[in-house]
Amino acid sequence: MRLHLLCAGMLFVAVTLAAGPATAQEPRLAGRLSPGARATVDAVLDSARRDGLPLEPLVDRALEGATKGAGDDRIVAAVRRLAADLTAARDAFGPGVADAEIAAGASALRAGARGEDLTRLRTLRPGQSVTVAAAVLTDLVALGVPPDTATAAVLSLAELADDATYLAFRRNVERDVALGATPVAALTYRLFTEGRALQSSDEAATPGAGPNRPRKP
Amino acid sequence: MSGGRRGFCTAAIGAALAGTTPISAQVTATTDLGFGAVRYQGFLGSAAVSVSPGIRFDSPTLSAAAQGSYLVYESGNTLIQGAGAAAWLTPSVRLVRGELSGFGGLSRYASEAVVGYGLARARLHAMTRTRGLWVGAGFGQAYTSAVTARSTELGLGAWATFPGMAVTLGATRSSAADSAYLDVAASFRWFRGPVEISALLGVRPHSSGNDEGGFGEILARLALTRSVAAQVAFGEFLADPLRGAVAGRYVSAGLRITLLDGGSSVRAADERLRSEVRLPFALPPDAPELLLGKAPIGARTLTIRRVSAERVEVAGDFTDWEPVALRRTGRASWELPVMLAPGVYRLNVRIDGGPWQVPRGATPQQDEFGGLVGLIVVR
Repeated sequence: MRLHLLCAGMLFVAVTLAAGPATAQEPRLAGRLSPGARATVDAVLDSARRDGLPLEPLVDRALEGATKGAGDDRIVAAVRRLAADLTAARDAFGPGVADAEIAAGASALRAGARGEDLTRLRTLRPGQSVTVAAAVLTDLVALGVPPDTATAAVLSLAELADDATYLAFRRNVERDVALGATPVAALTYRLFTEGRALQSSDEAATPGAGPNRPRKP
Repeated sequence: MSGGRRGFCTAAIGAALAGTTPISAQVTATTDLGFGAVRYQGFLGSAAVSVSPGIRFDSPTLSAAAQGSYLVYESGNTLIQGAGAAAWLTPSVRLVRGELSGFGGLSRYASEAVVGYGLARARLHAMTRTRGLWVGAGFGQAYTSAVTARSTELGLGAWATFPGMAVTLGATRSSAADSAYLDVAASFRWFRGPVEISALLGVRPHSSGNDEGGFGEILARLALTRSVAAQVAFGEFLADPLRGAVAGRYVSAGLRITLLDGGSSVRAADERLRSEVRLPFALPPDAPELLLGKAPIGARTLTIRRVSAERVEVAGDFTDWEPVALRRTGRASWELPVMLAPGVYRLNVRIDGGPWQVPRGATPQQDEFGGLVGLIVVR
């Protein structure tokens, strides 16, 4: 009898080990995805958890696909792609970055920003969140601004602009576009007006320009 | 610096009097919207934006054009310009026609300088339908806030047109106040389909009291629709004492909007423009409007307006993409209190169980499921 119990115990251990570590199941996916898709998404979530990536955006993406009636393949592909973008954003921002920043960075990468742009953005805003800046970059591209131009604009404001300025900047560009300006023209115009305002306030804090220097017209 | 901004507004008044003669009278009205960078001699470079409305009348014997421009520099200083030109061609005697023309303008830069000028000009043309020669002379007056000076101009030139192309070559000796200079310049205009390219290349080999050297400007224009064209231009120009312009260089890009074309009808430019804006994902005009307001205890109020419906739902990252019905608060207004931490959120709204759509106020972006999703940023 004891031998039987010992054998049964060893068999359980062997089966458990052979099955590998159990995959945690995200409860919100229950009933929203097919069993196959859910298993795959859970596996992606597990991997993301091990890598220290934020899980919420991945769950949200899967649920969005489910709500919109997308097929399993499409949902799984979208979640995997987002996981890759989150990884790239986390790597670009470096250590100590918040989940919201990683998510915003992933959107920016998907919009066309490069990893080094995100690195530079964080460097230019030490101690400040880059969530809004990265989100504005994504928004600008969505408004029709070429990614390179949008990235350059966001980076050029990075040192002086706070989040409110970024949002006002984006709102003004959107308004100008709605009124008929091309996205690039709107962005460029707003960049120079916002930039000028920021620069003026910065110069006001550090006066001392020489009187004989050439000036702007 | 006063009045110095040639080429930045792309439709030069002088050009209004050149080119082919129309068979019947026609009126053209345009507005140029531009942005660019400019560097005037003695100044730092600056960005600038401009709005330049213009109108032009052409008939077989009479041409007239007027243009204004309003320019704002990076510093906040403004340049306001207005210019007009008119020309009358006499009936031809064999191949010879006379031309009487005049142009004048006024510009004001910031509160620092006002420049005005006017010139009357007579020319004699020997011309066929496709080519011609001319000689001419003009005199006028130029004044600034400080001085008034008589100006004169002597010139000769030649022009030719080919299918889709026009070329001119001319030499002009100008004098104003203590400056006198000779400009030799060639211009070129080329059209094919929606594309137009204009170029001006010249040299000032001799000048007293002014700069010498080369100058040139190039403009490329692409018609996007019948009434909207995109254009880019860049160039370098020398000082023009006759018009009170300092030397400089510029690069600009913008739109030309044709408001009135050939005297036919005024187009509903605003509506057309709005519909032709190259948004990657244009929202339908009747898309509902999203507002995100602050509510007590860190909550937000998500409001959907301009919706005539029985039921309005929202689904987004903050609802786990479960459709949540909004509460009606007015005839066309619906609300939902939500808790949103700072970040970026994706959402869609649905009206009466219809398709998921992006409300105005959210940035439309392609989702990965064959549709659009709206992005909002919460601070």
